[in-house]
Amino acid sequence: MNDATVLVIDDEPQIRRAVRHAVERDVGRVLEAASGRDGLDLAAAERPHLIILDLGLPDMTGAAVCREVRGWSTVPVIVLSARHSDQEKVDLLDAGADDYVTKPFSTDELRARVRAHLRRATLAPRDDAEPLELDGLVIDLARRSVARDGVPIHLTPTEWELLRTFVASRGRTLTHPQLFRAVWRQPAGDPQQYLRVHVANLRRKLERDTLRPRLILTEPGVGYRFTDPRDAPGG
Amino acid sequence: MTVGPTVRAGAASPWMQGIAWLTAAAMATALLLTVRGRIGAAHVTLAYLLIVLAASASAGRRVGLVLATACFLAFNFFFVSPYGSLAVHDPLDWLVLLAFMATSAVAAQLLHRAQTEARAARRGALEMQRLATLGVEALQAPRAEDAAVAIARVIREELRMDRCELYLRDASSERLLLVARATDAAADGAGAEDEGSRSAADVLLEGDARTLLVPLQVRSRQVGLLRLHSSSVIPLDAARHPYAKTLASFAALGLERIRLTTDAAHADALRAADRLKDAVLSAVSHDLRTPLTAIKAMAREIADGGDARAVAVETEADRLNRYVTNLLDLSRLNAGALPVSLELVPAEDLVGAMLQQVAAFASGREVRAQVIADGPMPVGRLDFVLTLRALANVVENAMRYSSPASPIDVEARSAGPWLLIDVADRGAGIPDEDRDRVFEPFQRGADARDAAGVGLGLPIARRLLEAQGGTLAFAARDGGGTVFTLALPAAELGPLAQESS
Repeated sequence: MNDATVLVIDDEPQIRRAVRHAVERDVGRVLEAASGRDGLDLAAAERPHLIILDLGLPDMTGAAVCREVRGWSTVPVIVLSARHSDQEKVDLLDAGADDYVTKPFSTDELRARVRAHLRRATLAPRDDAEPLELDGLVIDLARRSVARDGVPIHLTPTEWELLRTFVASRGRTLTHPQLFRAVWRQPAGDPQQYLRVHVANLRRKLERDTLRPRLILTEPGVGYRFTDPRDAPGG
Repeated sequence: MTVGPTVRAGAASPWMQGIAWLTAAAMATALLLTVRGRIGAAHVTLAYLLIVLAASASAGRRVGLVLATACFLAFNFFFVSPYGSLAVHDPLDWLVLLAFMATSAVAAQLLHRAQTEARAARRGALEMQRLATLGVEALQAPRAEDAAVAIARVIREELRMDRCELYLRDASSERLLLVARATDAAADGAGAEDEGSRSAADVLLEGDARTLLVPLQVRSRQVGLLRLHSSSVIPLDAARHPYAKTLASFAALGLERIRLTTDAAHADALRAADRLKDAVLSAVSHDLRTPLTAIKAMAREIADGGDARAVAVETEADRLNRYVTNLLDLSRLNAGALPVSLELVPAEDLVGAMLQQVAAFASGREVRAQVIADGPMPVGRLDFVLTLRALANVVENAMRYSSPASPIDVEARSAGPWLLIDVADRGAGIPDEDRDRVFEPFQRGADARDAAGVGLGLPIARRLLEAQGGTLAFAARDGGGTVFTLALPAAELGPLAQESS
């Protein structure tokens, strides 16, 4: 990860400096751009491994930058937001951003997110045949089985689909509509109101403490994020 | 009061008319004398009656009665035997004379009444026409102030005053504000000084017999004052009273229109100020958070270098940020611009998110949380984000008012139609005298351990809950401290939520 390149697009020099300070220990190179246009040019020329994008750019909206990047790249995009409403965050995640961090963010939190996304992006495409080990949990997508400490855990079909979706996009913040589309394979509908209930049931089966989850984290007003506990701040 | 056209231009005085009719009666008497031998009493009385009626009709009741008396005497003197004397021998002649007198008097009276009524009707029609014109003028005037001036002008002309002024009552300052003045251009001299705004007492005190003050009301609410001034003493005429009252009610409506226009302009200004306030708050919150982010990052950088004081800087930056968030919430709540989106939320999800959020600003503080679920999973129908902010505010408040060593206990459970969340601390409790003020913005307990805290958390929490049909209450806790209870509508899970493995 130490040879990774991170691009910071923000018009505020102090924020660029703060972000640089937060991530430069973990990455090889930090590039800075002060406008959306410069950021897109730099992204095209340097092909960074990760982009940190501010929403309050003077020349372009964050969503516009995000869509252009997504036109030619799957590079992880972390959005920095300040006054933006939850709905705007959801729209941005739906437009292709991977994650968001709210200002004023903590350095540790930003570092953890950057590390998680870089690990996911730089790893070789995972072989689904390989069981995944997380926090004492063994998830085998190919055999459709989950076990903790060798004890199998029974999941309902909906819970299984939820887990599969979470694992496939671990580290990313998934909005409720994104989760719903992936699990129920329809844009919206009656079962959507039970999404939180299904997630709560899944947590009861997977988490050691449902009130202090380590795998399925709630992003208030936005959605859920499935994390590797090793990516947690300070972890 | 001789207001209005009681005497028409071109008419001769009653004296002149009386003399003219007496002359006519004398001439008729002379004519009748020449044929006295050939006519009877009935012919004479009919001729005289004709003259009396004609006089009554043209010159009025008084002339008619004078003429009736004159004719009565002439008839008696010249045509009732014995001739040349007022003595009457035949009792039947008395009957004729009295019948003549009574008929004349009644006829004169009837004529007078008919004429009076016709005149009143004419005046009424004229007044109606004036009022209609006034109404149209008042309604069509583009500015409310112009309408008031038009009304004042018409009132002055109609009531023949030298000056007519309209004062608007300012409800907040209890002062009277001069909004319209009409003066007689010829008589206008002194007293035209600009008085502007004056106290009601000042205006009322200067009244005399040449000044008339009329309070103006709309729906029994005092809206202002009509002030009339005349160079002569103002007489009061009962017949014109309804007209004056109607004019006054027009004046009252004119003032009301000014008040409503002013109110509307005021409301527009308030709305504009409100929009500006929201825009400013939104911009301020953004502009504050950017430097806060930089401050936090730099504090961390310094703390990493070994200076423990930098950790405090970071903590304070976080607190400032929460304060800004609370201010924004309060502003949105006050503006009524808080969108609420209800969804089914398991208590576990809510409490878990609260623990995650609180851990970010109160690391090291113990929060013991549990969700009681011996039956089905407790689920509420609520707005997740608003409820989370309310819950976090209540927990943060509990932390602030209790010793750092004591844990905060959070317990969620279902209770019939409610999802209840208790937040209990071991603080000093809330004194009885503060009970009513707990939910008022900018109130803090007298023993606020943490002086930097501003009492916004609980008022905002309560209103965030109430916005989605919930409540926030508190009670003393057994063994010391306070229990705050958040109550939110519980939800029954339908069959869609059930699923077999």
